[in-house]
Amino acid sequence: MEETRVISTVPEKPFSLEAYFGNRYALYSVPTRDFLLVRLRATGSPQIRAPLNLCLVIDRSGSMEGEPLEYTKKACAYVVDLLEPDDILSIVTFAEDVQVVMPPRKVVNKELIKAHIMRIEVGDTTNLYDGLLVGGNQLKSIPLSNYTNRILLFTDGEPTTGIRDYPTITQLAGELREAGIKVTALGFGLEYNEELLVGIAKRGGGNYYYISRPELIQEVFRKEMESLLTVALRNPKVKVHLSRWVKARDVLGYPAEYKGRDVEVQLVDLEKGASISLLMELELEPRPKGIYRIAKVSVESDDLKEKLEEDVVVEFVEDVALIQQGVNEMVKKEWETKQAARSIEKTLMAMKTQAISTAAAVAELERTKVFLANQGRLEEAKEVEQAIESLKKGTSLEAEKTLVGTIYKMDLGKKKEEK
Amino acid sequence: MSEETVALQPIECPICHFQNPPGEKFCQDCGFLLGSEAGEWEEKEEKPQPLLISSDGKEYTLKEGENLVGRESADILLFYDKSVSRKHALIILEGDKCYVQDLGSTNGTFINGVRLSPGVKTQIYDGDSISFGDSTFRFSYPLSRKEEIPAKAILILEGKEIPITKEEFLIGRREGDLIVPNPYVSGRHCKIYIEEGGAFIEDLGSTNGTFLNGKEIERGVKTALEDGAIIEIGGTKLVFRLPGEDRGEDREAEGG
Repeated sequence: MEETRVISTVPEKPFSLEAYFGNRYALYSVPTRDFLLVRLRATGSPQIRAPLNLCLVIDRSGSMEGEPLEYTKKACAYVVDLLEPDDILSIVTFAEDVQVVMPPRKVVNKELIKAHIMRIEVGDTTNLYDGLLVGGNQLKSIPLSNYTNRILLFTDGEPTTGIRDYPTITQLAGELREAGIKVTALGFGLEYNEELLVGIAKRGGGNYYYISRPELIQEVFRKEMESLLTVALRNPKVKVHLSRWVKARDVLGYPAEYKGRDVEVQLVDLEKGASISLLMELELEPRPKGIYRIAKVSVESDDLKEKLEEDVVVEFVEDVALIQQGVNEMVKKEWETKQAARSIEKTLMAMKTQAISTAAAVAELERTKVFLANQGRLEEAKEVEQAIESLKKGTSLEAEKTLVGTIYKMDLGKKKEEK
Repeated sequence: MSEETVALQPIECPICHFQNPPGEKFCQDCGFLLGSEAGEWEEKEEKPQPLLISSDGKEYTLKEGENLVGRESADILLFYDKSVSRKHALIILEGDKCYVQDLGSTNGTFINGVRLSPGVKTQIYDGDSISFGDSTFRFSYPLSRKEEIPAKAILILEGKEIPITKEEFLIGRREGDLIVPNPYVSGRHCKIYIEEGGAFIEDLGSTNGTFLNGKEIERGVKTALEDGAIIEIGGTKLVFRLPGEDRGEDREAEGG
């Protein structure tokens, strides 16, 4: 009879959606420009995760010989240990050609799979495109909709065989994403091109990692697997329906689709205990004084049982003093974080073109690091710290490979909630 | 019980007057919190936007200058319609005036069902229907309403009213503001003048003459035209009428 009672006994909702405008108030007589913050959180009680359909695409070019390949094999074996019998694994390696070490298989006989891994041998050149293509085909032989589908692409160098132009490679990652497969790019050492790998992660909807030393390969694989095994919300899509007199000027960090009064943004997968913050610049036209909904924000995903919806309300007033009181600190903070990403980007560009000295770059990054730490973005602050260390050691290539990842992460707006 | 009845009525937004379905918290159109206090609005002249509205309600706002309509990289992109050429037509907005120009499209551009000659700029008006191939749109732009010039006088020809909107109104078989396709009417037959002092008619040297209330008028001389006068040219009868009431006084004066 009274259904509301029943709802209140449900422990905690697994997902939450918040949406705020940069100010509670707007002047009624002039146009207003400010940011809309949309924050999606995966909070609640543990859920049964969707089984994985995972493909490891591993570079076995000549440069991997010795320690790197041995550590990579260990890391792959470690991934096998983390998987459950319902998960599906396939392994592909690439050098001048592509070898399917193991076609898609349920992770039942772990020792047999590890034996396959141990037999991987180095080849010669780097045919990254075909490796990615064959990896995608392995995943596609399984009905994708039942799984979390992901490729882990591990490489230590530039593509040297097969298709080598970057746009074609990143486009392949984009096509895989459209088919429902995400691509995470893991770069090892100093020889690979970080722009290409970040490009693959961006278009492929996955993560990017820089691995500086062979001993760290397993740790980074562990990190990626941890994120993958806790994916709570796959392919969340944010839809912002604007009131007639509201215009979307820009969406930060993500590509957006504009459909009349609707703006749609495809976000990356959301892990349990994490949040994604999205910023969108809006322009409001003058309105008669009063309270208005400027936008209705909703989220769609196959993993959502109920619709998440949030109204964003602004009061149009005459009193300028109210505008000063109405500033939303959360929106401001998120915007400052985005600015910090731009500031790192600027420093990075200046470093690459040698427009600033190492000392100046270090000073810039120190400032950003302190800012990020104050913002509670400890992971990013740590990465900036690592980049500073690399710069001081004189290995600016290392710093560059770290920082592109920091920028990418900040642009995605993803954050682990502190426990 | 009575409350429920009230709740089922649509809620009109006090700001934009949109009719919202019952139970709606915010106006679906302008977002106003329904039931809250609405501020006064210093009415600003909101310039209406020139719009092209597709048959399924999609709106395209036209920009000042040229708007390309076509199937590839156009301002109004109709990629889904194969009957639309790559570069199909231009819609040219010049302030309050708007024109359509077909760019030699395969399946043609139509205004209110009339196919345009390629390359010719044709003015369109608020409410016109415009088709590019199979895609049909309504043009909405209140500023471009067809101007209704008040008629200074009316000619009635076979029961049809022909407004006279100019001070000099030419009637003829070949040229004129009114063309009378009657072989006994001369190419340029006669002219009607609407002046402050009244209305006049002049025969322009026609072959068969102009008759006013049954009497032939002198060629080349302006003759006064009264309300209700019957003009006959080559056997075609026209009734001359002046609009409305302000004539009544004169008639009374004449009568008295």
